[in-house]
Amino acid sequence: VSAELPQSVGELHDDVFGRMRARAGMHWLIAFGITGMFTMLLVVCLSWTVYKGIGVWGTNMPAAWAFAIINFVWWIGIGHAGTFISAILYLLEQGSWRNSISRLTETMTIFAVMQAGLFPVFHLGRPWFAYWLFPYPDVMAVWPNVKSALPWDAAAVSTYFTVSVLFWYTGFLPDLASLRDHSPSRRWRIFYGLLAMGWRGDARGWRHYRVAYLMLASIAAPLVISVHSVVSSDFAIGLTPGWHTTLQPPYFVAGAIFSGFAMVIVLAIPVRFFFQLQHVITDRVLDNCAKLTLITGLIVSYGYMMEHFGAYYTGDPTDRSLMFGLHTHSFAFWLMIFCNVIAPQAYWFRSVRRSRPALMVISLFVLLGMWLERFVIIVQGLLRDHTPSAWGHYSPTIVDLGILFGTLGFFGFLFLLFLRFFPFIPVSELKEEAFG
Amino acid sequence: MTDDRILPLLPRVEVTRRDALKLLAGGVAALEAGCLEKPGERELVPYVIEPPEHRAGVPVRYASALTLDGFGYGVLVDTHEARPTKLDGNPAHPAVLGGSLAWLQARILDLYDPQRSRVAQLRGHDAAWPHLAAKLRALPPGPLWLVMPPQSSPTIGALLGRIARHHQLRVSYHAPLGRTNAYRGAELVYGKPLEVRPDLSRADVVVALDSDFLAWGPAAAAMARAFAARRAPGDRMNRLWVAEPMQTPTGTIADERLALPARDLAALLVVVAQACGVAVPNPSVRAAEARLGGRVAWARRLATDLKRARGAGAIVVGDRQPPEVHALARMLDHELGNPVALTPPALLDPLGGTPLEDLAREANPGTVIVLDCDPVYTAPRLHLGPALARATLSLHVGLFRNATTEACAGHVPLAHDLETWTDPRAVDGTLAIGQPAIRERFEVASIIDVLAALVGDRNDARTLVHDQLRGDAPLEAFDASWTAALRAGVVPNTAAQPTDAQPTWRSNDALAALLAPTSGIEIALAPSPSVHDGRFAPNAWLQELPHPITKQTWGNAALMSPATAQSLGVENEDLVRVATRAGEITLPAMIVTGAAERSVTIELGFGQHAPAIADGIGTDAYPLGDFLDEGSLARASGTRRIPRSQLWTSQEGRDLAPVMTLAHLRHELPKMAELRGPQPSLLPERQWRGVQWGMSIDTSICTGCSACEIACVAENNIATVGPTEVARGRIMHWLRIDRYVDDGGRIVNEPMLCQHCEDAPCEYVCPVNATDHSPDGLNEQVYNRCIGTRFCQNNCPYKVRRFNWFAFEKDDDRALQYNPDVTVRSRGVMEKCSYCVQRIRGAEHRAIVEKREVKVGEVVTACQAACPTGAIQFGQLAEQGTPFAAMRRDPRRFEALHDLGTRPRTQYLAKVVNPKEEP
Repeated sequence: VSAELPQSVGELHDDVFGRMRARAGMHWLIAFGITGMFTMLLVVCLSWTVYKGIGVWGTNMPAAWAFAIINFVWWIGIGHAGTFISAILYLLEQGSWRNSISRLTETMTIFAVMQAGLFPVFHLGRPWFAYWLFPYPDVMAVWPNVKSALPWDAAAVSTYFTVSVLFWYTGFLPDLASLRDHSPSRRWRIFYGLLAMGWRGDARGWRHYRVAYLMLASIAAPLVISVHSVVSSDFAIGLTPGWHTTLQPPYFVAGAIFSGFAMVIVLAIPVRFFFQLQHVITDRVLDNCAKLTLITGLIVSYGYMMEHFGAYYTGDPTDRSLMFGLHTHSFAFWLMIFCNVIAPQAYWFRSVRRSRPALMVISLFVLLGMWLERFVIIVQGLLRDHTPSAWGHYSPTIVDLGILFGTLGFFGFLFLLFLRFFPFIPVSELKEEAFG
Repeated sequence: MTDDRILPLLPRVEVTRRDALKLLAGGVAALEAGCLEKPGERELVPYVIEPPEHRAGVPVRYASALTLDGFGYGVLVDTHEARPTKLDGNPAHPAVLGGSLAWLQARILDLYDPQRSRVAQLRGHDAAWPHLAAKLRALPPGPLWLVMPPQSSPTIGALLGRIARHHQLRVSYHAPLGRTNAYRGAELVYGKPLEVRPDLSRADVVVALDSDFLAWGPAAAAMARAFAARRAPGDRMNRLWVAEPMQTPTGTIADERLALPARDLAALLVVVAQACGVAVPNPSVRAAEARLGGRVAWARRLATDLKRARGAGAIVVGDRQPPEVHALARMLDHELGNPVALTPPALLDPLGGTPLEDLAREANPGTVIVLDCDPVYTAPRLHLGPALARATLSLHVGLFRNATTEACAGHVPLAHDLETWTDPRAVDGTLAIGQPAIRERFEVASIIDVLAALVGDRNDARTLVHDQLRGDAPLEAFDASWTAALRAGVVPNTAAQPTDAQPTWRSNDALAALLAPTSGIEIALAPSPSVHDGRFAPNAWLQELPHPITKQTWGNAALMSPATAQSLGVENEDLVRVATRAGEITLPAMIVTGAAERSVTIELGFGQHAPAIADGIGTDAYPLGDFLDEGSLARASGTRRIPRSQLWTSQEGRDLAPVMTLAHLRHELPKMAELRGPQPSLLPERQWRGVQWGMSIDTSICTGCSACEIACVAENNIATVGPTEVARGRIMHWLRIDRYVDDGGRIVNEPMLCQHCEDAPCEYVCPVNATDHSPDGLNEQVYNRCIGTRFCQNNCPYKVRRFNWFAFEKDDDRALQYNPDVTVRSRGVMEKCSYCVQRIRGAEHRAIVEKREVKVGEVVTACQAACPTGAIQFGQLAEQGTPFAAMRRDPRRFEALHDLGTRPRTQYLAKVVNPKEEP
């Protein structure tokens, strides 16, 4: 299993930390500059939105939700793979391949949820009242409406974020302590020392750590299922055609993990290349990620099938006309089918799963496809609702695009910072794995 | 009303800090010099003790009158703290009978329009009206030319008579969409121009030939009411035959409709008249039959029906049809013994006075005063500019600056109808007293003021109107009747007496010419249902009002049938070049099912240059010349976006707006029972106690005239968003009129507004309880709780909710018009129809004060009040003996999208049509 790993603890240690401490390369600086620019774009677009009103977006009267909610669901979905890998695979004792990427994917989760969290706030007509979604002790005794899925959403996403951060941080402690101990300067020792919260690596500490980590994993694992199920309720509890179906929760969860693994592959391949970590993030890791992409992709495809079958079988004219024949964006629909149903079928072949360019291309297709899936569900259902007189058009504005690409930039920006300043490989776990 | 208590309403100006300091300095200097007093400005006196007729917060209603193209329309003006805020038809006025028209509702906005002209000008310099009036009083006798819309006011008539004694007076009554042809047609058969008014209450068969009489014309609201009264399914249900080149509101509720080019109507009428026994020369009949081709069968069926209903028919001919067609219709009326009232026209000179062409040709026109019209824009062929330049003095008097203002030496701001005294006659001759509801906002002059100045009369308009009505009656005795007339808004017993005239007419060469074969495409110009002849183009409400047929807002288009469009290879929004002998224009095409082949309709009133918001909106069609002409049509390069409020007209098999025929009513009605009532539900049945509100809408008698839509805008402070935002699907109207067309071309107009569902899908999805149910059955929107998630809109199957995407209200310059009982919404909140909750609560408050229950019929929603046909009824579910109660029991009632189980409080009555059975 660990044949490719370094032969001693010290070697492994130096290998990872040494790469981290190396001077920032030109690649990193360029990437940092570009993602920084997109982050600024995000700031500008969101400020403009708050200043003028969400009329600067393309949303309109049949399509009252569009890019913001699509992006929200997409980013939340991406986050799911991280928790899946770190919690569910941990509980299933898949440490042999999960450990090398667990830190990377947990971090991905946190940063993705951060992007997602922007949208429910900024898409509001009056974002400064977003806190009304939470049951805070109000002097007027007003309370959120618990029948609506949006307070569920607020609760689910904030829980998910909190648990993910705790889980991520707990796993981080031994490595932070290790960094503290090996920091070349006092400044960094104080920095990492504060973060390490006095971790000393003694047996008692490890014992408690193990229990805490296991408990957090047990809490995080059901969240993988519940969060996206709740997110899907935003649609499933609605009357809108294409939204109102009990299929949504499993279909959304599978889709989330599907896109999440695609994002893991998209992130892991460059990290492994630029940091020369082929012996840590091995081909086998990528291969397994590809297999999971394939499986969840098949569940998603089954979802598409059932969605259409349901519309056909119930005979509901509204659903039927939406699913068959009245597509407003048929190009988006067929591209989605290609990206999510057809492209991942290549993963049946081992050669494809072992080819990094192929993995990269298919994963990008999946990410695009899953974004399109949310577009097709949300926008098309609204544009072809029950009352045909109100049917309309939707097209995004430049601000919509700015925010979408801005969050991609911000995500990359945070990720690059993380790669520079924190151990993105869980060294302690690898040590344990390799040297028991 | 215009007493000193009323605050002077000064123009609002944007003031920066610098300006403020400058103004302060200037103001102090002016005070020092003792010259601050501006004409018309008085002290501010707060209501320390309320005058008895004013109660803060309680609106006061005054009767007044509006004038359009010479005819009076009685209105009731709601004023809040001396601000008029809302207009409604005066039930006592015969032209409206309490109903409204879209423009009538929208006229309130003009009063406060910031684009209104505020200062009189002479040769480029600001001049005060009193100064100009003095100039007019001192005018030496000589040639004087007045150009104004037709007039019916006796006061104006008397003043014109007095002017004619001093000056060589010529008057051109200029109304681009006037009724001259109808009067000329009457003149052909009766020897004198007469007003022909069919009695729709006695008509079993109504024929509209190129006439939108239910939504257009000086008595449209009254005619619509009379027509609708005979529309209940049953033995007395009338039958409406419509032949028209373009779909109109009247055409949408036709039982038998023929899409026919307007210039082929003469042929149609010849065939019908001949079949009914009118003596028409054989060559004419043969020519007409040749012209009609296969459509002769329709004409013969119509003739059969008219003969069957002998003595109970009505034939209405459109104003743009040539006099010969009107004449023939009168002969047909006479032959069949149809019930028509022939009365002397209410207008001073129904044939239009001196033609405007004469002014264009006149070498020395003397003084020319253009009052309340824009002939430079509406009659471009006459090139009036040079004639106005030749005048010794040319003056334009208007509400707005326009193309004619630019061509005249001087300009005087015109008083709005609600700022001055008028006494227009309704089409039946009934005199209405238009009293001001607010003091003049600027230094303005009314038409009466200008004419009075010309005769050197220093009396104000009130005195002139008062004295004209008084005549020789003693002052004391007259006082009571004057007050009564002011209260009622109409002067009793002033309707014209019907005359008994025998028609005689021999068809002439002109008729033969109308029947000659034609080639080419018909270019038919039509009035715009919103901006009229262009005079309402500065009115943002009317610009944003969706066209009743095309649902276009902010502009016009070349309207054509699908086949015509196909033959040209154009689609919606493609630019086309339309050319006639007179001129050519380029504008976007719009395809309308139900339009006649080889006929293109273009609406007038758009493409102006002067008034700010109308600038560049739509395309000016006046350069095309005659109303009905032959022309050519070609595709031009490019497209232009048409902002529309409805894009899809098929029901897609959903239970939204069923249509049935009278003959099959018995089989169809049981199906309606499946479209109403509770659906099986897992939720516990909700108990409704106390007063419960509901609405019923009869789609059978909705013409789509859109008066309700503007009434709602005026009542509920609904924002105007402009063409770009409309095109992006952000129109704010709470009430829209959905128009569905089935495969057979049959149309249903369905006013769609919040259905106030008992199990409202919007309510459970709102995360902050901003939309909730009241105990009396209203779906309520709590603006200050709304955070704008828009989930409610997504979940509303009727899509009736509207979102404030921006701070729309900041650009909506109408603060003085706002209804103080309705919250002005700002950015980021959802809004929708409230069933006029402010009126419900107002009635409840009155009831509490007076220690009683809310009376049946006490609450009338704005749309209900505006509807000329009574299609919209509102009331308490438990009430008895009212039209609303009858509709709640009508077997035609259904609930839209009933299968969703939303249990709407708004019910509809299915549309019933009464086509002629084939033998």
